[in-house]
Amino acid sequence: MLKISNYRKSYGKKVAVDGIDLEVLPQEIFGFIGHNGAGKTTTIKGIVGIMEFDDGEILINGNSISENPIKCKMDMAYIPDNSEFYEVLTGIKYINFIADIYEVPKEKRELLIKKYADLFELTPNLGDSISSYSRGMKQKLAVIAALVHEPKLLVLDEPFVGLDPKASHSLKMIMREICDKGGSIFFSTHVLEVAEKLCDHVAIIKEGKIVASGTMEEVMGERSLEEVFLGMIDHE
Amino acid sequence: MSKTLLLMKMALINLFSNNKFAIGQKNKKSFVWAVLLVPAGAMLYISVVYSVMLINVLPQESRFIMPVLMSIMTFLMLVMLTFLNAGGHLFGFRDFDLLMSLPVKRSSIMISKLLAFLLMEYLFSFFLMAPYLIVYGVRMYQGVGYYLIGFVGFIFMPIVPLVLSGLLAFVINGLTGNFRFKNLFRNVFYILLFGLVMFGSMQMQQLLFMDLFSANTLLANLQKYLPVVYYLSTALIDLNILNLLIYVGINIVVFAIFIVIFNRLFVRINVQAHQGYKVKNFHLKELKVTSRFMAYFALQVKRYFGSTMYLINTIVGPMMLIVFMIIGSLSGVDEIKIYLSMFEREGLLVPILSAAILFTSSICMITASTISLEGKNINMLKSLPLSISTIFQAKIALQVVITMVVNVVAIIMGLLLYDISFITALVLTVISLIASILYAVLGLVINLLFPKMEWDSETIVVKQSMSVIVAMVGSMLIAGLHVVGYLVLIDHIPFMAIVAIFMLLDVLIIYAMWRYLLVGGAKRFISL
Repeated sequence: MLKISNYRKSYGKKVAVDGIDLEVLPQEIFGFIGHNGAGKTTTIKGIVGIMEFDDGEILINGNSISENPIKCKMDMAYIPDNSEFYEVLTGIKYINFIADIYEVPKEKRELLIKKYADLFELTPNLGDSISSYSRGMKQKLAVIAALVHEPKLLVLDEPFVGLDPKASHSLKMIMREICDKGGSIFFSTHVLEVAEKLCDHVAIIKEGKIVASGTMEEVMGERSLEEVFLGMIDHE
Repeated sequence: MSKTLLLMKMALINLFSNNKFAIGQKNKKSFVWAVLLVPAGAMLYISVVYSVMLINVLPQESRFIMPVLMSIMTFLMLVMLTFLNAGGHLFGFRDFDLLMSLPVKRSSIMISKLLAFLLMEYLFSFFLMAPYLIVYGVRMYQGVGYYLIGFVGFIFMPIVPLVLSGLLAFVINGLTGNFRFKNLFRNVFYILLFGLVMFGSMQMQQLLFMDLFSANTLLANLQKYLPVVYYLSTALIDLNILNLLIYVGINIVVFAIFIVIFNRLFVRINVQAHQGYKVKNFHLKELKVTSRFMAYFALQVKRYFGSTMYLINTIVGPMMLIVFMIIGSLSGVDEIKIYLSMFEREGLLVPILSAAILFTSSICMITASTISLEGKNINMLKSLPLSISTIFQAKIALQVVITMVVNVVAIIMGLLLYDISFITALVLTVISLIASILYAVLGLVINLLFPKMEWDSETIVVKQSMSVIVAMVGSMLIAGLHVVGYLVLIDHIPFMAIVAIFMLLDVLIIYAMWRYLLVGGAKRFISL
């Protein structure tokens, strides 16, 4: 579903991501872990096509994000770590705008909006202007907007930040549901317990390089993910 | 450094910096200076020429009225300018939450915002006041005392306009609160105010032909209704220190009262300005489905009408045509018709009206800040399956539609009120269409070259960002070149042929810029 080969990105002379390779298979939840400034967001921005990169290739469902960005974007959804919206819109107008952009049929969008807005308990607030939303409500709105076109690949940057426990639980369920239907999830997180419980596959990035990658069992062995992560980050 | 000064420094940095540049760092400073000096020089030139013309028109014995007229003009212009800016600078600024969380007094936050705003007003004030003070001083052989009074007048001049516009913005913010259609209310209110100030400025022209008796009546009325301008004017005319002291006193008292009121309501109004509206008992209804282009275009329209600053600062140009039409119809249609038929006989009617449309449309540079206004939404936008050309087309379409709607209304008014011919109306419509596309594409190119993605108030992007200044200079230059072309060629080729040549050139330029947008512009967009 997602294949990254030799992805490299620099900011001036500073190399942010240095030739990484990753692959996310269908029905897989892939956790991307690293400390602040390790290169997680730079990688995610390359995947979702909001940043050009220096070298390498990123394939989404077999299509190159550099050569066929629209096709790739139609297949995926992105939830950024700090969701920004057009605050002049109401919640429902924003979701409907996203549904228009992804060309979601009328009946389907109405069904999915109702399903996810009810699940995240946002239905009563959908008529309010986004500027009146709390951070958690904005995050819920971003999740609903991402799900309204049933993406094959869901890319999330720190998705649980700002969500209440119930919404976090619902999101985890949805992530699993997407994978069960043949989709894939690629997400970055600092919450190692979540990654440990949720992910099928994990990669740890340090100073722009992948220092560990594999199934949870392969990476963790007999230790916890926290012990593995801290061991790798502290080990120079 | 005190906390207030520190906050003010931050507010000023935010006001005047943070533009990204498409050119190298080495050339940046000289380019910035060059770009800033062109409009500054033009404004100063116009102000000087106007002052010289005014003093030349007035008979020797009536010249004392010049500082009075110019002070009234400056005062009105400052009220208008500060009123347009006050909303964004004093209320609803983005760093409000951050500033309120800092261990500083709320009065420090308020004063820092107020002083930074005041400093900006001095820029406008300088261009309005300095030329007439100097021209009058030189022509009336004034001494050092006069210039000192003028300097004190300059220092205090923006205060009452600032207080008036602050209070007005205060009332508007307070009245509209979380009202669902608050933006519509504000937009209509600002447009009406703009029309009123335009009307007032035009009425001012009649004062130029007044006799001595009328001048004294004007002074008496001024003392009654606008004492702050009266005391400054008389201090300048008679070198009256007492009147200068009264002028300073009025300003200080007004400012002090304002600070007390403002300090009490500053937080409440700002909190309100940051809250959106909420609806009771929302139920999901049938949703409307549109194409990608229309969905994004509709978003642009909502974004445009959702920001009073954006709307007012761009729609003013084309609106001037309509305001002139209305004022003209109020002050005498027949007189204007005589002038128009005279121009028509000379073959100058279409060139003059074309020039008017070219200039008023050149002020409507919606695309000059459209990329900057995406701000932090830019990543969300880039992640959507929208081609960059669709994004650009929707942004260009907004400016073309807005300009054309206003221009066509003005042209229809011309047809109905002033009997301009159908052919003239048609030519003007075509010129208007080509010009609006040209300006829109130009604005977008310039905004991509000079984006300002980090800002705490939309006003900074819409009014003071480098792209807006460059685009305004560029579009006015284009309008000017067209007019110069008309003037040079009109004696040699028929006007319609000149229009055809210019339209062809314009279309070629539009095509070249569009090609750039699809390649270089798209690259710059992705790199933002």
